[in-house]
Amino acid sequence: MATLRQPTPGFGLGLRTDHYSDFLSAPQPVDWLEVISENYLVPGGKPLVILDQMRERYPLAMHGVSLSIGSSDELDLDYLSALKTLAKRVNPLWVSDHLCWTGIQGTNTHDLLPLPYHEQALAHVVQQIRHVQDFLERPLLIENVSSYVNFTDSTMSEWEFLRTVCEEADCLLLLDINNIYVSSFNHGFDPQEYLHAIPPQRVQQIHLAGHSNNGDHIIDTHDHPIVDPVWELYRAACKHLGPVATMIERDDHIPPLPELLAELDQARRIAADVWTRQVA
Amino acid sequence: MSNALIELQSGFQDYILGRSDRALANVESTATLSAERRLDIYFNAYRARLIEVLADTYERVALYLGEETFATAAGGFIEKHPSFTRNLRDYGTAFPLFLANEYANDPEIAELAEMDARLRYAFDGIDADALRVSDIATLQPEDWDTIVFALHPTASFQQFKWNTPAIWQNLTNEDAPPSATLLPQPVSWLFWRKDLQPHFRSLTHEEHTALNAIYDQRTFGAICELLAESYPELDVTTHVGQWLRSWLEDGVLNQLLEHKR
Repeated sequence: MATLRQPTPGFGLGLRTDHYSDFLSAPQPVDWLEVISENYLVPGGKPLVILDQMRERYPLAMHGVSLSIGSSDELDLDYLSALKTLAKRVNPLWVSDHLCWTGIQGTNTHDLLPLPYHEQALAHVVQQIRHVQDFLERPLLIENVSSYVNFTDSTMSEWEFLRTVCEEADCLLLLDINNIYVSSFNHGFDPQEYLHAIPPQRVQQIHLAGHSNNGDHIIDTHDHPIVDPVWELYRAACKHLGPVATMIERDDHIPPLPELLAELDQARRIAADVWTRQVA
Repeated sequence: MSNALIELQSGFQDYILGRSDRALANVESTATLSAERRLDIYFNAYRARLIEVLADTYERVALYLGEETFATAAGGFIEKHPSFTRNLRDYGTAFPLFLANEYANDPEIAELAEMDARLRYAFDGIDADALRVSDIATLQPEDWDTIVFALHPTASFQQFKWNTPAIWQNLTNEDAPPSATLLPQPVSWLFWRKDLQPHFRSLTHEEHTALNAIYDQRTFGAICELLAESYPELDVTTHVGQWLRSWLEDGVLNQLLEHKR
């Protein structure tokens, strides 16, 4: 039986150190928080104490950045063991990472590098995701990344690749709406075509974020408010996907929490508008 | 595993690390961006990201050198030291040594870097309960000779030849740092975590000798003998009693490793 999404917990934010005291000093109007797994893969000290305190107050999702699922290196079992231990501590809503590779031959570029979209890469990634899911004993959410290159030996589109990966590996998706927009700009494809190729019941979570437009290319910097075309794409995603967990990522130029909460309210309004019409 | 994927990833990574042209044939150009310019986005992001990580870990070094000089130094380090760590937290442990070579005439810079690193280690190092006064209250007089204390796992020592802790303190307070000054004699400092915060303080030679002996897992009796031999003028009983009280109050000790009757 295929792994399909669970009911949405609602609207959340990415937890960043700047907002620790806001979230711990008073209840904030978020339904859940997403934590970066690597920030808590530390031997001890304050980060883990804060994590435990957050866990008592908010449902948490764990989002990783260094699984490197698409690397031609073998999976790093030490990393996976540490991730599994952390997941036991957090009891997260779910665990996610990216459809990418971060390095090979033991080197780590600490970047989310794109894959070529062809059968060999597909078979490799599917096998890797299945191994990870077996090891973690839970479904994995795989996120589409922003990319700045495409490869000459790709034989399929990114959305065909992503859809086939999740169906063949039987995993879930973390659909980053901003990343679809960024890559559509950089590679000249139709973001709506991408969006509508995604099987709705596989999408457990949505990411929203801002970016930097450099004129002839866009970089996924997570340091600005979400732009209107991404909001429009989010509205289309709400229509296509139905009720799905949504959160905003901000990693640089982090504003006071009320600004992000206001941005999250905008997501709530768009989603409510779409989903109310759907019910009607 | 397909050889084509290994070959593509190897070439791409080599471009990021050093602009190897092997990757160019694998990457499509667009109407406005050549394959080279597209790959350069990753080449530049790699350096920017690692410089940012080093500036975070070595925060006072970054303040001391200034943004531009720090970026040059960090960039030089990054070219020689690709990351082999899964977690960015662990990148750059060799940076103090690199700075010691790079700034051989300004040794306070490497000392400052090592101090930043020790404080970071104290911040998120291994958790362990601190030994409390009540834990040793039941010891009998005859126990003391053979007991072995353990340091808290976040505890470490650094010896400073320069007035680096004063420089660190001013930078932290956003004051102008004092001129680098060679100390009359090197001074050792203790770093550890207490109440979730990194702490540090200077040590006398005698106290450092005692703590080093604890680190070496010498018995309490052997430590007292060592101190009496090394410092004939020292009132060992009084000083060890005072130090022990402060170590227990400050959470410097972690447990009794051994308690032989």
